[in-house]
Amino acid sequence: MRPAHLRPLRAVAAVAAVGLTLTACATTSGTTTDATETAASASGTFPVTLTNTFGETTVEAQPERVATVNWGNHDVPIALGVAPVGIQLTTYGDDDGDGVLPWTFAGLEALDATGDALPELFDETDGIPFEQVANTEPDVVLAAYSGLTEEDWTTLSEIAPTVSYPEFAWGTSWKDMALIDGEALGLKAEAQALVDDVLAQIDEALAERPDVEGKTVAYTWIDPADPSTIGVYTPLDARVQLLSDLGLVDAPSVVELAGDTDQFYVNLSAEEADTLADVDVLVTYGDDTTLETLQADPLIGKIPAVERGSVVVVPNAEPISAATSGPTVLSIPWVLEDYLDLFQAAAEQVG
Amino acid sequence: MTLLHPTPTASSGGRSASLRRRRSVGLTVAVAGLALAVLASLAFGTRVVGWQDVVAGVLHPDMDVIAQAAVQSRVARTVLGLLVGAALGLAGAVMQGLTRNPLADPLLLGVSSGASLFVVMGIAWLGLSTLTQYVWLAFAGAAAASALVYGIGSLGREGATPLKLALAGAATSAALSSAVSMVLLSRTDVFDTFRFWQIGSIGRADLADIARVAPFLLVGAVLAVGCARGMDALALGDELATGLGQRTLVVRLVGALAVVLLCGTAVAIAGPIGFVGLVVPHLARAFTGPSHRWLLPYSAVLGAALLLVADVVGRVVARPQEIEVGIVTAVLGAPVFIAIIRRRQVREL
Repeated sequence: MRPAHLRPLRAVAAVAAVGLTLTACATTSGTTTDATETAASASGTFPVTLTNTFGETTVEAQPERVATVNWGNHDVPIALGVAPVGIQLTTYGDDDGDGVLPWTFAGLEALDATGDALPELFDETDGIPFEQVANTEPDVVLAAYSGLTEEDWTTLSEIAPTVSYPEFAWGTSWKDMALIDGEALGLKAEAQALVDDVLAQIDEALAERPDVEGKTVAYTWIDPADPSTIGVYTPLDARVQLLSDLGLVDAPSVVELAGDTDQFYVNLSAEEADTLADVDVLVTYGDDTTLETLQADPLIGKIPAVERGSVVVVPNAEPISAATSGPTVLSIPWVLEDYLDLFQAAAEQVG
Repeated sequence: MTLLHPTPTASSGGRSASLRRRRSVGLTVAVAGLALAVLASLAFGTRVVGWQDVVAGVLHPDMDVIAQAAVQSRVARTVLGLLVGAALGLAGAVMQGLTRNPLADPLLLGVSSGASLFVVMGIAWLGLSTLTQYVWLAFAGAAAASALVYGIGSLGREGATPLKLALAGAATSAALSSAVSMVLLSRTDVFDTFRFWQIGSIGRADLADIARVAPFLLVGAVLAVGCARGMDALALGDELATGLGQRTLVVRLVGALAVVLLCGTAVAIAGPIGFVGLVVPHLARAFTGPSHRWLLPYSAVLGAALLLVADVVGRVVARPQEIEVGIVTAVLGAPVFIAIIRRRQVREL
C-alpha cells in the first residue's frame, strides 16, 4: 500500500478516458512487441547480484516465473515481454474495477496474459499477502519501487530472491525502477533501451509544448476539508522526478523545505503558504472546483501560482493520476500527451 | 506532581476555610491560565507574527497581508479549541464522577472511539458528508459504546467496579479502533477523508460549523452541571446516596446523556482527542476538593486551557509543519496517566 496513492479528494469529476486509451494502446502495444522480441533473444549473464538497503539479492538463473509487489513494478517485466505470474491488485485510479490499470492491461493483452491467463492479483491493502505470493512459486520478486520494510523484504526473500529499492522507500525513479527490475531479469540493456525510448517520446511531446520547459514547480497535496496544511512532495518522490524528466525544475523553496529528509513528502503549515512564492506552476490533486477553492482560501490563495491560476489540477483517483503519481515505462507513454497538455495550459498563465 | 494529591473527602469539612481560599485562588489561577492560553493561541503559530499584526489580525484584519490572514485563521481555531477543550474537561469530570473511576476519559472508556466508528461507517457506507449528520452519528456511536462498556463492566456479582470499567473500556476502545481501521481498509478510496477521525485536530475550524454544534455543547454542559449534586452523593456509594434521597439511576442517565452530547459533538467536529478528560479533573480536584459543583466549571476552564496549550505546542515545535493536537495531548497526557496510576489507589475515588 502506498499512502500517497491513497490521498483522494471527496468529489471526483468524471474524465473521459476513451481518447486516452486509444492513443495509449497504440503506443503500449508497440513497445511491448519490440520488447518481446528482445526478451526472447537476449539473456544476461547470471547469477546477478543486486544491492539494496536491506542487503544483497542474488538471482541465480534467468527467472521464468516473475512476481511483483507494490506499485507499478509489474509494468517493467510486461514492457520487457515477460508476463508476471503475480502482480499487485491496484485500486487507486482503476477505471473499470478489475484491479489492473489500463496500460498494464493493454500490456498483458499484448502478451496474451489476460482472461484465464491473467496474473494472480495480490491485494496489498492490508500488507503484502505473503502466502498468496508464495503460492505463485516465483523465481524472483520485483519491488525496486516500493515501501517494503526490512521485515517484508526478509519474508519475501524466503520465498524468492527479492529486489528492493536502492535507498529510499518510494524514492525510486521510473528510470531506476526499470533498470533495477530489468537487471534482475537479465534484461538490463533492454530496460535501458526502453527508458531511452520513453525519454525520446517525452522530448518529442515537449517540442510541441514550448512553455513547459524550465518552469519551477511544486507538487502538493491539499485536503479541501482541512486546508490548514499543505503536503509537499519532495524531490525524492517518483512523481516529482517525472516532472524533472518533463523539463520542469524543482522550485528552490521546495528543495529547501525537503532539506535532507528521507520521506517522499513534507507538510507545510498554510500559515507559511507564501514560502512557495517562487513556484511557477503548482500541481495538486482535485477536480473542477479545486482551483476556485484554493483561490478562495485566505492563506493558500496568497501563493502567486494559485492567485494567477497557473495550477495543474490532476484529476484525483482517475487513471491519469495513477499513471503520473507512480509513473512507469508503460504508464508514461499512455498518459504523456494529456499530462503535458495540463502543464502547457498552466505554464501559459505564468507571466 | 503534588497537584495530583487528592483532597480526602473526610477531612475537607474540617478544613473548609483553607479549601475556600484554595478554590478562589485556584479559580483566579485557572481563569488567568485560560486567558494566557487564548492569547498564546492567537499570537503563536507556525508563522512568526509581530504583535501589531496579531492585534490587527484579530480586530480588523487586512486579508491581503498574509500575517494578518494567518492570525484571522487562528481565531476560529481558538474558539473551537476553547469549546472542545471545555467539553472534554467536563465530560471527563462527569465520567469520573458517575463511574467513581479516576481513570475515566472519553477516549479510554471507548466513548470517543464509538463516536469515531459510527462517523466513519456513515461516510463509508451511507455516503454522509455534512457536519450535522456526523454529529448525530457521533451521538449514536458514543451512546452505544457507553452502554456496551457499562454493560460489560457491570457483569458479575460486584457490579461496575472502577477496575472492571477501566478494563472493559480499554478493551472496547481497542476493538472499536480496529473496527475503524477495518472500515478504512475496505474503502481505501476515501481513506483521506477519514484520516481526521483517527487523530484529533482543530486545524479545520470554521466559525459557521462551530455555531452549528455549539447548542449541543451548551445542552450537554447544562445537563452536566445539573447532576453535580447527584454525583457528590454518588461518591459516597449507591446505598448511601439512595439513603440521602438521590435517585441514582436518574443521575446516572442524565450524566450519561451529558457525556454523550459533549463527547459526540467534540468528536464530530474535532475527531477523537484523548487525555484531556482524564488529566483535567485531577488537576482541578487539587483546587476544588471533591465537590462537583466546583469541580465541573473548573474542569471546563482547565480543559479549554490545556487543549489550547497543546494545540499551540503542536504548531510551534515542528515548524513549518503542524502536529495534530490529538498527538500532542497523547504525548503530554501519557506520563500524567502513568503518574495517576502509580500514585493513587485506583479503586478509590
